[in-house]
Formats: sequence, structure tokens, C-alpha cells
Amino acid sequence: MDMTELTGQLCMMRGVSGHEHRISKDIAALFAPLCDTVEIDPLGSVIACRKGTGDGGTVMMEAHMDEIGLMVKEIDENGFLYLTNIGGIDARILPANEVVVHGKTDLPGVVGAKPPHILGAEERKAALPLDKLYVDVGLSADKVREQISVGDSITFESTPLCLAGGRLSVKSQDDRSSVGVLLSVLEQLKHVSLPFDLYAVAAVQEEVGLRGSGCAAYRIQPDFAIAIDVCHGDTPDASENTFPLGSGAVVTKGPNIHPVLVQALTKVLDEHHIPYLIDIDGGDTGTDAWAIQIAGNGIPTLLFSLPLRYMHTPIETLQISDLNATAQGICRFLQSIERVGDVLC
Amino acid sequence: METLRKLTACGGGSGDESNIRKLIAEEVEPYADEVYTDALGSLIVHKRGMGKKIMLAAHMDEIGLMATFMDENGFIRFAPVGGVDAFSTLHQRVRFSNGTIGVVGYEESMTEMKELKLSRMYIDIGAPSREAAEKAVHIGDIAVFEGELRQAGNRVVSKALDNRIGVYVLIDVLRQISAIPYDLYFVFTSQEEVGLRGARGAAFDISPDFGIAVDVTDTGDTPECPKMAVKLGGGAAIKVKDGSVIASPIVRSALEKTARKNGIPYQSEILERGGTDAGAIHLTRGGVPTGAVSVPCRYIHTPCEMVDIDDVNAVIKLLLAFLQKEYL
Amino acid sequence: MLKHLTNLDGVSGNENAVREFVLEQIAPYADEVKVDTMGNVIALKKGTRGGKNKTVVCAHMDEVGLIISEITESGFLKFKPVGGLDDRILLTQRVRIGENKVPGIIGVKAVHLQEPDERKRVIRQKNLYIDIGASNKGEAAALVKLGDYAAFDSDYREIGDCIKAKALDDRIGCMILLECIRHTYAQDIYFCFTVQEETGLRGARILAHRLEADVALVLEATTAADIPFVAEHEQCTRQGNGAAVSVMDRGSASDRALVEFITTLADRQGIRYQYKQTGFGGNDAGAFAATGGACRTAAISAPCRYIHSPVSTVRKSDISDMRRLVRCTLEHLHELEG
Repeated sequence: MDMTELTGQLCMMRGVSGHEHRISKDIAALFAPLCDTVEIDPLGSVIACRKGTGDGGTVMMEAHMDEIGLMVKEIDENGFLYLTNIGGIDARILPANEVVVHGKTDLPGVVGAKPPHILGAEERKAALPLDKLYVDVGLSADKVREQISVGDSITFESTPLCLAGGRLSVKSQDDRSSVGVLLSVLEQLKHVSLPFDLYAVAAVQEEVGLRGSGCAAYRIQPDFAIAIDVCHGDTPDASENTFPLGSGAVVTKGPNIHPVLVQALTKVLDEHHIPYLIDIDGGDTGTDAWAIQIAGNGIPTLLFSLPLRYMHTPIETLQISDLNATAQGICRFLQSIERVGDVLC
Repeated sequence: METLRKLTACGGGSGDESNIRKLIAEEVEPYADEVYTDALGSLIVHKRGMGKKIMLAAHMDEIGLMATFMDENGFIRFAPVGGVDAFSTLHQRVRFSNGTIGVVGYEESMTEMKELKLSRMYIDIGAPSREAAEKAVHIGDIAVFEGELRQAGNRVVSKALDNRIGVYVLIDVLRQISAIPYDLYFVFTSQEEVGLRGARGAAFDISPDFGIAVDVTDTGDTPECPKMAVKLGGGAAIKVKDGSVIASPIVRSALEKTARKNGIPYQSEILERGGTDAGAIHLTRGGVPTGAVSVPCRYIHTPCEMVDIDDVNAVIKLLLAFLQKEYL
Repeated sequence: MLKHLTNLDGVSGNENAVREFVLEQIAPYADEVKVDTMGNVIALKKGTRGGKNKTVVCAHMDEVGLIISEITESGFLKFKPVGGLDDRILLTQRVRIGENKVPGIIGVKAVHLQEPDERKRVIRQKNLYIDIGASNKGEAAALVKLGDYAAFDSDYREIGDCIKAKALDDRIGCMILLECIRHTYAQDIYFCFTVQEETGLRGARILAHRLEADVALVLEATTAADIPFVAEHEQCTRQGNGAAVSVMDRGSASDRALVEFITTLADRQGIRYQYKQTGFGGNDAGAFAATGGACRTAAISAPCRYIHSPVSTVRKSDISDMRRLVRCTLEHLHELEG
């Protein structure tokens, strides 16, 4: 499984939060050959299961499959589209970006704004908020209305770009790259027998408030869960709470994380010389781990993060070696478990 | 119109829904198989049927002002219950559950109106002293806006149309419905305005296969207002998203299909701020595909909320058509 | 042809790739070709009746872009703008740098890491950086040199009824010149492809000095601001209304008789055109008007939305209107009164 290719393939899928039905079948198809069952739950999350060989309990791995994006909130008399955001977007990155509008068919468009020479001096200093931007699909108003409706989703146009140092830049690595990690783990363990049932969940609606993962966890009721998401990569304009690309796996500690479980995990990582860094979070990790931990009667949770630069932009960038280290770390940890209950005490 | 007049006139601040609940219970009794009140005060009306379990929810509570302190001159300080805006509250008449009337004043030492905050406002019930005030009102009592229902052309203006109009819609649907392919729960929820609380408990108990909330939504058709595609008189609003939920694509497209097939005017609703009971319902247990149908409403959370009669009828028609034929 | 032209990188001062293509294309059709000291291409196409007025028709080869000014210790690249760039369109753009076209991206701090009031301010270009994936200065220096030019990485695509690409300003003009030089005219015509328009009409200035033309026709791409939030009187030009004929811009007032000559031709031939509305912007006509002797100038432009950005768009119908109008004008230029 070539991780660059797989990640590129996953990231080119287009499904903003609440619109994952566009891609859930494709994602389910990627899980199918690696699992015994794959189903789509009522909110749309893909739940794949690999039956264990014994009664060793249940482990759930999770990543979210939705992506941030935009939505058409109004269409004006000239066919320009006005926007609302789905998930957190810095409106400043939007001007002159290309998008795909998911109308009756997929239509290319560009994000426009008032040009600089028409802006007043004051206006020029201020960033343009989302309600001063629009999408232009280059069609007459009639054709726009035929093709596009209020409520249609919009994704970034962005194709995978390989940078130096084994780094990949493309939209939606948050969190499709982690979906790729799930697939990689399942593939590496394909011929390894595990005593517990192993679930892999590609959850919906993380970006609008961790909505899908809690429900999926409620359904599965695992003995413990491993969430995989992204953390911030280091850049010249951001140093705090960032991690260098190439760090390997990033493992979180804090109230969101089960203390005994994470101790067992780091021990395994150390034994196998898998590079990792520790991320300390004093409360809400802002990831699905936060929702999973309190699903049903409560679920002990671990969180892996992938250092990612330019999060929530069309140029999200990470280093492929970090994906591999994370997948490897999860594999080794799962293989170290005989009975799920044992690692929790 | 008489039913709606009664429903809007009745007070029912969040957490104080007993009067409105009683009124609704009387209205629905003849049409229900089972009517009961749950632990959080939601009224659950069961219309038995074979088939999938659908929960319809309209909240019966309204925003209000809760008495928190009375000074020696009988003025009552208050806390907001739900999204109460200082400017919409100033100089309004309000009424407590026991009928006590008051008006809302502000500290006149304020020089700039932009300083207006609820914490600098008070309710004057005409009591000359703390003792007199305490006889009429207790700390914790909730007052709601006064604002009698009036018709203005094809439009209706009243307090509490958020969400008595939703309540009215569900009662009317229940009254008219026959031959249903579903097991239906009409739930008149409590405490929506303070965080979708009643619906959460009710949905957990009922554990439905699908959920549909009926509520009001903003419009984008008044002078210089933020852009929004919903217009008063534009038909039933089928929710795409709000702050609490992205409508299930299954439910949303089934509703849209119903509207198109039956020639019922509809519009797509994207409410950028605020939420509805659908937000609570869809995250219940392992997840419940949930959508919402809204009545477009101007001036929400003021004493003069305005809806269009044709829109109300469109919502009723849409729900009837939707529930009587198996679209899900 | 437009696809090929826009995919070539020719940031002002580095027009080589475009010039090579132009030279190759005009070779079979030009009677004399000269490249001057700055890199302008001057091609004389002899007419059947010689030269009454010394006539120039020109388009510029260069485009706006970036130049690498610093490599940081951690391997990021600082840059300076080349030509007029709005800081606001740079965030998250892709660029290709230098002769090897090293891919890079213009990064920006994630929204989660920004303070709320930070989001209200425009990020100035001097605070931006390019990420090429290098982990340190050495790795970056192995791929990129100081002074390398960077062009936007934006492919040529159809969007609705429009073409979207970088550098439509002014590869459209170049394309129409390359098409027109294939035909024969009555009048002798100098087909010129200029450099450094975007840095201040600099190529055209020395060209005007050298040629001392009587008539100069400039082919351009110009702002179309027929978009939301722009009042009608500020819209400059509108897409779908045909080629824009300039009456006046910041650098030059067009010759009335020449403009009338062009519009009369258009009317007669039923070619759609519009007047460019306002006095904004400037183009090589300014250099011809201000340099050397008295030169009558006019400009015919394609209405271009999001000009000077990687996603400039031009409507296909406007390109064909412009093509017809230019061709028709060149065919009749010998009829222009002296």
C-alpha cells in the first residue's frame, strides 16, 4: 500500500460534513477487502469490523472522513453564489482559490471579491469576511439556477502536490490521511490473528462538532478506542502547540486520554523504536477522542495525531513518514494485546 | 385561528411549561392513542401505527425573564431565559404565570444606548415595596412577553410564535392525519430555548428511527438584513443546516421529494446561527437521521414575531403528505 | 494555443520561455525579426502596399509573479512581488520556482491558531513565506537560488463559459498577435511582443523610442468588475459584451479618430465591443503616448475578471469578438487618415 498514493486518493474524494454520503460507499469499498463486515450507520459513518479469534474484547480505531468546505447559501440575480462555511475556515485564504460546486453535476468555480483598485483605503486594510466573497462559476444566471441550489456543498479544488522531503500537499488531509492510516493498519494486520474484534470507523461530521464519532462509539461500545486526527505542524508564523513534520507519531496525554492505556502504548513504541512525541492537552483535544470518551458508559480513549501544516486550507501539508510511523505504532500496540481488559489495569 | 390565539396567549417560559402543556394536552386528547408527560416535562403524544418509528418535535416553551432579585422599592431584576435581546426587551410589557403584569425599564444613568444590557434593566410590576412585590412574584418566576395575536394581511403577528406555530402545526397534522404507515410520536418538547434539553431526553426514551423537528426559522427578506435564502411567503422551509444540525440527506431529500410531488411550495433553509430540537434528536444513542421543517418567521424572539399564513399551511400540507405515504 | 501560452512562465524580467515560443511561432510569417536589449520582440510584417503610417501592434509577454529574496534557516523562502499583486490573493496559492519549476506553496497559520482580531487583518506579503518541503536552509538552497522567479501554478481550464488561467493578462494579446501575423495586410505592420509591462510599461518605452511609430495599437487584458459589491459605474468592463475599446486610462488618452475608426469598423462588421468605462489601469499605450514623437494610440482589451491572480477568467465569446475586431482593424489600417 503506497501511502502517498492512498492519501492522495482519499483526499481527492469530496465530502464536507453532512455530505459524506457522496463518498461513504467509496470509503467502505476500501475497507471491505480488509474486514469481515462493513456497514454505514444511521448518521452515515462507515463502520468496518474484523472479527477476533477469541473473546478478547473489542477495540475501535477511528478517524473522521468529513472535510471542511463551503455551502451555497444564496444565488443572486446574476448567478453569483454566496457562501456559508461548513467547519472552521479563515475567509482570508479564499480569494482567488478554485472550488468545485456540487450541484446537479460538479461545476468548477473561483472565489471572487471586489478588486483592490475599487476598494477604499480603509477597506484595503481589512480582511474580506466571508459575506463579502462569492463563487463565480462562469455561467449565466439561468444556467446556474438549472444546476445549483441553495444548500449545495462546495469543496476546494486541489490536486496532490509532492513537495521536497517526502511531503504531500493537498486538501482534506484533515482527516482522510488518518483514514489512510486505518487502512494501512488493517492491511499490515491482514494475516495476523488478533484475539479481539477490531473495528475501524470513518466517522462523519467531526468538523461541525464531533457529531458522528460519539454515536458510532455508542453503537460499538468498545473496550477502548484509538482516535487518529491531525495536529498543527510547525511553520514560521506559528511555534506554540506545533510539531515538526517528520516527528513520527504524536501521542496525546491529558484528561481526554486513559492514563494506563497511554502508558502501555508508549512502552510498546519505545520497545519497537518507533519515533514519537508527546502532546499535552489540558482538556478538550478538539478531536473525536473527546466525544468518544463519554459515549455510552464511557470509553477509555487514546489519541494519535499527525503533524499537519496549513490546516483547513487547500494546501494541507504533512510528511508521509509520519503516517507510516503512526500506522506502525498502532499495529505494534494492537499486536501486544492478548486480552483488551488487561491493558486497562 | 382561535386555536393559535389560545396557544400564543398562553405563557410558557422554558422550565415553566405546565400551563401550555395542559392546553396542548386538551387539544390533542381526542386524536391520540396515548398522551403522557415525561420527566423533563415534554408532552408525548403517541399515534400508534405499524412501521418505522418517527419522532416529530415542536418545542412548546418560549423565551422569558426570570426574577432574580427584588429591591426595596419593588423593582425586580431578572436573568434571561433563552436568547433574550436587551433592545427587544426594553419597555415591553411582560406577564408572569400568575397573571402579574410588569413593564421593563432601564437604569437611566446610562448615557449611551449601546451600553444597554439586561443586567442594567428591571421589571416594574407597580409594586411600591419589596414586600408588595414578593406577594405577587417569587424569585425564580418567569415572565414572558405580552403581545396579542393580530392579523396583518395574510400574516400573523404575535408573541411566542416561536414556537407555538410549530405546536399548532403538529396539532393540526395530528387532527387531520389518517392511514399512517409509521408509528408516530408527536412530542411537544420542553426547554428548547435553553439548550434543546427536553428533546434530548424524549428522543433517548422513544429511540426513534427518524426525527423531524418543526420550528420557526429566520428570513433574509427585510431591509439590509444578512443574506439568507428564506423569504416570508416563500413556502415551507426544509432545513439544510443550522448551528445544531446538518439535516440528514435521507430525510431532507424525502421531504423535498414530497413537496415537489404534491406541488407544495418550499425553500431551502440555511440558518447560520441558532439551533433546533433536531440538533439534540440526531445525536441520540447511536444516531438518528433527522431533518426539520420550519415556518419562516421575522423578528424572532421579540413580542411581534411574524409568520405568513400560506407558509403555515404549506408546512401542514407537507407534513401530512410526508407522513401519509411512505417516503422514508 | 492559449493553453500553451498561459502555461508558460514569464514573470516580468524573465520572459525567456514566452519569447522562445513567440519567436518560433512568428518565424515563418515575419519579414524581419529583432530582439532588443531588454528582450522585446519586434517583427515586421510587410504589407502589400507598404507603409503610409508607421504602425505598431503590440502585446506584452510578461506576467505578474514573485521573486525569491531569502531562504530562512528552517528552509522556507521569503519573496517579493513582481508587478501589481494584491496581498489578499496570495494565501494558500501554489507556485513553481525557477527553471526547474520546483513546486511550493504559500503557507498561512491555521485558523485554529489565530487570535480572533488577527483574522480581520490582511496578512501583508512581507509576512508570507513559501514552503517547498525543505527541512532546513541547505535542503532549500539545493533546490532554489536567490533571485529565482516564481510563477503561479494554475492550470488552464474551462469554467462555465469562461477560460480560467494565470497570465491571461496578456497572453490573450500574444495569442491574437500570433494568429494575426499569419495573414497578409495592405499596411506594413510591426508586430511587437513586449517585456516588463507589469513593472511599469518598461519594455514598451524603449520600443516606442526605437520605432517612433505613428500609430500604436495595444492588445491587452483589462479589468472586468461586473461582480457583486461593485457599483455599475465602477465596473470598468463587463464580460460577455465584447472586446473593450479604451477611451482613456491613467497613462494615455486614446486618439479619438483612431477609436472612431475602430468602432466604425466594428459596427459595420457587426462585431460586439464595449467602451472601457473608467480611467483606471494603464497599459503599453501609455509608453507609446509618452515616448518619442506624437503617436496615436488605442487599446483593444479582453474583459478579464480576477486579473493579476492565478484564477483570472475571460469569457470565450469575448476572445472571439476581440480576435475579429483586431483582425478587421489590421486589415483596414491603410484606410486610416494620416
